[in-house]
Formats: sequence, C-alpha cells, structure tokens
Amino acid sequence: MTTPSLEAVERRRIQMWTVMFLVLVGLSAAVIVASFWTEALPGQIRNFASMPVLRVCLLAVTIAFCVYVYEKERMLRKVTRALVDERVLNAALTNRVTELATLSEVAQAINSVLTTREVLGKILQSALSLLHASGGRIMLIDRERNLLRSVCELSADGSAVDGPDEVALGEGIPGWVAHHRDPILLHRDGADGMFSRLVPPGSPACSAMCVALINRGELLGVLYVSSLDEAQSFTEYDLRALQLFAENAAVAISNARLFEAERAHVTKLQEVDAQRQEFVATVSHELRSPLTSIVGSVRTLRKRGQAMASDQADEFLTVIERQSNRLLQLIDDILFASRIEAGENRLRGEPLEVVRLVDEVVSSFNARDHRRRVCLVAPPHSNSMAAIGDPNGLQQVLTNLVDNALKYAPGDTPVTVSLAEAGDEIAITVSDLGPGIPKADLPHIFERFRQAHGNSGATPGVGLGLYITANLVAGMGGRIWVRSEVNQGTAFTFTLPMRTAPARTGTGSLPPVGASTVRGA
Amino acid sequence: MRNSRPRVLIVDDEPDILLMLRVNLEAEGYSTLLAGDGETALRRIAEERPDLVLLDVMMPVVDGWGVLERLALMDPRPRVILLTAKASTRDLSKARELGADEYVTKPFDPDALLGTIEKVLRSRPAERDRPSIQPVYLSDEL
Repeated sequence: MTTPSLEAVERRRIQMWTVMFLVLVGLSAAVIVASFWTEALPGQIRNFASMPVLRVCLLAVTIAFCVYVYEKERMLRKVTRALVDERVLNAALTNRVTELATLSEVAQAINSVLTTREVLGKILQSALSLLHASGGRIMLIDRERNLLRSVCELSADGSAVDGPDEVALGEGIPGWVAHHRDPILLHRDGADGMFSRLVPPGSPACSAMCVALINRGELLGVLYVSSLDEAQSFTEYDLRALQLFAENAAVAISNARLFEAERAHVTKLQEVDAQRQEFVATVSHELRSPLTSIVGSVRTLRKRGQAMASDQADEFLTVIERQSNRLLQLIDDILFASRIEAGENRLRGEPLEVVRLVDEVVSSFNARDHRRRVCLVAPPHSNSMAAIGDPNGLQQVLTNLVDNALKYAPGDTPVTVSLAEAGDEIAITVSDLGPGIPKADLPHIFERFRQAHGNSGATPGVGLGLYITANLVAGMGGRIWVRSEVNQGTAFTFTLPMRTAPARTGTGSLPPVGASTVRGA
Repeated sequence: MRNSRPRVLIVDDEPDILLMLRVNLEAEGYSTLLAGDGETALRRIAEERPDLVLLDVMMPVVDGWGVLERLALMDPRPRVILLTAKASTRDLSKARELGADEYVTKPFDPDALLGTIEKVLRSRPAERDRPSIQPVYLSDEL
C-alpha cells in the first residue's frame, strides 16, 4: 500500500468541504422551502412537506452529516500531521546518511596512502562542509614548548581562520579544551558568558566548537571549528558529529606517528648495517697494512737475512715487533669498542690523585722519546686536587690524547698537558700546535670510525681512539670537548668530577659554544 | 740491456713498508727513491724521472688515485704498479682506466712483487726508446 501524499490529502479535504457546503446549502433550502413557502408547492408535496416528521428528519440528517464531516476532518488532520512528521524524519535521515558517508570517507582517508597532512586536511574539509562551519583548524600539542600549534587550517571562503596559530595550554577555546579534555560548544550570546571569557573581543566568530584529540588516553591536540554566520550556529548535535571527526583525526595522527617511528627505526637499522659494512672494510684495510710490513719483513729476513748487516736484521725485527703490537692494539680497540656498545664498560668511581696519575703518563712519554717533550702545566696548589674516577680510565684517556697530539703535531712543536679547576670539576687539557682539525670534521670527531671516513688513511688506526676516549670520560661522569683552528693547533679538554662534588651523570653545564662535545651518558 | 740500473720510486705513507721494499729492491740491483706522500711523489717523479713507481693508494693529502690522475698528463709517463689494501673489482677497473700497469693487493710476498716489477719493466718499454721498431717488424712478417 502506498502512503497518500500530503497534496492528495489536501485535495480530498477540499473536495469534502465542497460537498458538505453544497449538501448544507441544499438541505437548508429544503428546510426553508418546507417551512415558509408551503403554499407555493403543489398540493401533494405541500401536504408531505408540512408534516412535522419530515422537518425532524431533515434536521436529524443535517446534524448527522455535520458529525460525519467533523470526524472526517479530524482524521484528515491526523493524516496530514503524520505526513508532515514523516517528511521531517526523511530529511533528518538524509542528513544522517550524508554524515555517515562523510565519516566513512574520512575513515577511508585514514587508511589510504595519503600523508598525515593530507588526511588531516581531508578530515577538516569534511567537518567544515558537514557542519556548515566558516573555518576550522587542527592543533597539535607541543610538549617541549607547552603549547598548541596549528598543523592544518581551512576556511570555507579562503580567508584566515579566526584565532592564533599558537596558543598556550589553558588559553582561548583550544587551550581550555586541551587543559580540560572536555568538548565545548559556545555561542557569542550564550547565557554562561564563557564565550566572551575565552574568545578575544575582536573575533568575528558567532559560535565555536572544540574537541580534544585523544588516542588511548593520550592527548594529541584539539579540533576547532567556528561559524561566523548567526544563522549557522552550531547545535549539540553538531558537537556530537565533531566528536566523531575528532576520533578519526586522533587515529590518523597516532597512525602517522607510529609509521614515522617505524620508518626512523628502519633507517637507523640501515645506517647501523651500512656502518657495519664500512667497519668490516676499514678493519680489513687496517689489518692488511701492518700485515704487509710483518709478512714482507719476515720473507725478507728469511731470504736475505744471512747477507744482511746485523743492525739491519735488527731493524726488521723491530718492524715486526712494532707492527705486531699495532695489530694487537687494533684488536684490543675493536674489542673495547664492542664492550662499550654492549654496555659492559664498567669503570670504578674512586678518589684519584690527579696530579700523580697525570705526571706518570707524561713522564712515561718523555722517557720513551727524548726528542719529543710533553710539558705538564699545573697550578701551585694542584697536589691537593682530588677527583672521582677510574685510575686506569684516566691514564688511558690521557695516553690516547697525548699520543694523538704527538702523532699529528710536527716533531719540533711542544705538546702541553695542563690541569685546572673549573667549578666542581677538574679540567685536563692536551694541546698541540699541529695542523688542526677542519671545522666540518669537528662535530663528528668523537664518532666511531670517524677518522676512517674523512681522512683516507692519513694516520694509522680505525678511528676508534677518540670514540673510546670519549666513552671512558663519559663513563667516569666527565665531559670532553675539542677546540681547533686549522694551522694553529688543537686542544682537547676533558673533565672529571671533583671529589667534594656529587658525581655528575651527564647533566652538566654546556661547554663553550662552537666546540664539539661528548658528555657523560 | 739497459746501461743504468732501473730506478724505482717507492711511495707509501708507512716507513716500515718503505724500508722493506727498499731493502728488497736494492738487493736485486734496482736504484730506489722514496716518498711518504702523494705530493712528494709527484715532485720526485717530475725531478728525477724514475722508470717505475710503486704507488700506495691510501695516503694523506694526495692519494694514489690523485697521483695517477696527474701522471696521465705527464710525458713520458713512468710505469706504475698500484699497491693497495683494498681489492674490489671497482678499484681494479679504476686502476686500469687511470693507466696503472699492474695492481697488487696488500699484504704481498716481496718476491712476487719483484717478479711483477720485472715483468712490467720488460713488457712495455717507453715508446720513445724505440719509436719505429714495431711497424718495421710487422711489415717484414707480412
């Protein structure tokens, strides 16, 4: 059965009233005629009309007809009302379908290959068109600066969206929502006066809504929309719809972050892998160099040893010994570096007589080579200087730095080790007047295998020396940095916490600007 | 036979390798020149015109490739044997492209190197020494 249309019902009603009008007119005429002009009627009819029974009958029929028409009208009204209701319902349903379609589009966008920015743009665009909003923005929370930052904004007519791009937590509508996490719907003339409290006086907005973006309990940001048109003020129903958009936006943002984290992880793994390959190539190269000398010297001695002067044979033995030690040192360094990476590098934290330990290292260098002098510069009261650290660690750090300085600086220039107190630390500086380190290399100097990258084998070693040194310093709670000028010289400074001061754990003050640094981890 | 002993320039940044090569070459009757880096090597090649250069690849300032590139502009060009700790096929083709005569990977047996040196010195005498011999010889054959 088909439902009658509103128009058909209306037509029936007009027909009914017309019929009723005609019938009433007819009846009335009959009654009037019967009552007043009975003489004019022919005899038989006159007799019939003058009968009282007929008058009563006519009156009864008229009343019955009126009652019928009244009932009919009541029914028709009911039908009309139902039809109007249905029409309204239909309109609402159509609206819901549009909404669902929009939301499903949004959900599809989240799962598509679009970038986060595109997905957020799509969500915002759908929200604006469905809610007939003038403008809106998605703001994400910046934990470091403790504020909300607009990452995506859109307006219906291309004009600027009301409100600032950045807002502190607790400030304005977005700040309020981020702080309370509750959705908010405000009208300019709202009775609670909240609008005028949260929105700056000059704002063109008439009504505004804002919802927090929350994923698994974590606040990510807010979704804000506003309407500049009084006629398009938002309703509670609109707020519900905006919440659905916000849920989708939160999922999109979380997905994007997960994806970013995953991608960063993969990149990191690729880097590690590339580094490992580079390491194998470098190590194989570094093993081949000393082996060339060792193999060559052994074969030479075997073939020509008899014919050789004894001091020359001795020289070859020295070469073999030196290069074997170099191989051993290389293997030790590699093992040490891998221990550092595995987190097995345990250093003691005991009171150190800094001056005595430093002096031991400097003296051993001076005893080894009488032509090169390493000078020790210490303040007068330095004998009382006491630091916390590992005695072997300190000596290895100093040995590495002095060794480097002697290796790079020309033979006739001095290498100086100086001691100083700096706040609650003791600073030890090793300086040379060598060729210096190019500015571009400074930030990477403490990285693993660094020398091997930049320096195409200018000096022997796999580039582990400074990496190990920096890690030893960090392990003792100190800091290390370098200052260098090309053709002027280089100064490495490392610190150890003073005995009176609590041991540092890497939160020390920043070193001088422009210097490359490694701090305790 | 050559009237003078062939002169070999040994280029390596490791003094121990220089020593080992010098002793072996001199024992075999070569006259040796030494250089510890690419810069020095180029100067000595220009000044003293050695017959052969034993050239290490990994060196500071100017590396072996740099030396090889600049030698390409030199006339006459000394013969070159590259000594390298790297042994990739890419390096090998690069060496050929830049005109190295031989490519020896470290570590090497000094005797084997001496054999290679002899082979290189014999196989390709500098064109300027006997400019017209080959064409004449070939026409007689035909």
